[in-house]
Amino acid sequence: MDTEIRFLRDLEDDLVRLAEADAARTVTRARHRRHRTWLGAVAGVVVLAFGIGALAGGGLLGQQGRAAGQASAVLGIGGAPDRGAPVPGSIKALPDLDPVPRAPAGSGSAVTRTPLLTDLSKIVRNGSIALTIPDGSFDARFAQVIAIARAGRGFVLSSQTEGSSSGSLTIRVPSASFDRTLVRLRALGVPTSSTVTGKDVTNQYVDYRAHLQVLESRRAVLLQLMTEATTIGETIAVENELNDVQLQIDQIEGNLRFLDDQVAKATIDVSLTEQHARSAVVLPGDIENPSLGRALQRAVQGFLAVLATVVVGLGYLVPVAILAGVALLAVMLVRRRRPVAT
Amino acid sequence: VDERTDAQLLLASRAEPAAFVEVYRRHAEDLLRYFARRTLDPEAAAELTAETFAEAYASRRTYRDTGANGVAWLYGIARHQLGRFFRSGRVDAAARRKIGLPPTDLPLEDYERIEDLVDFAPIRAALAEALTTLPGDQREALRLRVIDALPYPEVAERLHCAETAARQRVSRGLRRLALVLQEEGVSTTAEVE
Repeated sequence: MDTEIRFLRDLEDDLVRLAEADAARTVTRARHRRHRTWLGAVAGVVVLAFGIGALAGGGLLGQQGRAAGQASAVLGIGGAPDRGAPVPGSIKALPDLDPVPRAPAGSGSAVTRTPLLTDLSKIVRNGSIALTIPDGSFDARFAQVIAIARAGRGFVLSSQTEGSSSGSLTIRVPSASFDRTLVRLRALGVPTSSTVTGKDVTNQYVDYRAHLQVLESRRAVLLQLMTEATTIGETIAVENELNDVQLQIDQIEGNLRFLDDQVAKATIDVSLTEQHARSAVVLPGDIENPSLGRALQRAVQGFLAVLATVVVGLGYLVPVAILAGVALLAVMLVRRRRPVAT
Repeated sequence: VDERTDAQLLLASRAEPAAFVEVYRRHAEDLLRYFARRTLDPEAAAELTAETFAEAYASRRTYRDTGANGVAWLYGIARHQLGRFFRSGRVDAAARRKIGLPPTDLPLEDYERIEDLVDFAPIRAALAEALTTLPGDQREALRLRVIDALPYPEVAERLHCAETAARQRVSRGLRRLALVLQEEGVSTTAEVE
């Protein structure tokens, strides 16, 4: 600067330094802005991929969510009712719970169950159902559950109540009326969870029967030997053997009776909870105490589920991005050629 | 030599701060003269110049090219600073602090050079009358320096004080004088901005 005044020259030097520092900061800010733009774009793509993945039902998230929904419903800690759950009274919406195939009505060439299959199929059926019932209706619904059990020629095995707003019952009903009983129970409230299990014990039953026949034959032989025994020693030896065989026969017959009873009568766990009950009833067999290990496991599963969902979404996005890139390239080529043509 | 206009330089300075320095180079001395003629005080004039450029630098992103030369925008800020100076009697330093401009004292040799920028001839009569309102030491210093036009070493010798003290008395006297003249509506400048 061409001036004799030193103050102005010093001020100029200060301004130059300030401008240089600001210019450097401007470059840094521009770089940071570019980085932020890229980060934003990547985050946008990930979120978009996640959304698409979730919509496509990909990854483990859908399964995880459904599993979590079921688990929370079973534990009675809220969550949406299962998808197959009908509203009370809409029995038609229920899935067919009968595991044995039925012949279509009015079909002459229908496949019917053979007597052999009917006799030999030994299936132990169990079920559980958790119901949310209107406030103040617990006592009435509790009595209705007992009435339904009796109407199906069953009985209440055990019951438990918590206060006057929630409780659970275990009922046993003949297998023939298992499905009908479940349908009636579902109509008592809004099902929050429902499970039906069937355990095939046919092999076990057949084994017991075969073993019993062998033992009975052996007992007949031993009885014959007993009558032919001439000495005291022979008599004692045969009798000991006979006692052992009889004991085994008794045990097997006991097991067969137990299996018959299990097959003949099904067990249903019923949980009733009023809509605004403070504490939920835990179904028999469920774990009540929280576990850090399970929480960690669920956290890892959740992380993997989100990751898998994003990957699925990217799978949808990549071909779209390729098509968009090709289209963009075509547009650019056309635009580049246009001035040459004109 | 940068051939861009002041307006172009101010607009460019948003992304290119160095362009503002060129505006400063073009107008710093004129602005100092502008302030010196109105305040009659070299220290205040220098400080006002620095504060005006600091304010302009800090708010350069708000500059809009309305067709007028960019220098009008600069003098708009200068008038604002001058008004505040006459109202409060001191120069604000907020803009310099905001942009981180270090405070600088006015070098001794600059006092006379800045006073040289002021043309006292048109206001000499008014000055003589206003001198009577000043304290004795400042009045005597101003009489020797402004009326008799003696150099500072001689003023200091006549006042029996150091040259720095003589400059301070003259500076304070001029600042007070400018305020008195401002209150009485006497223009300290020959031209109208």
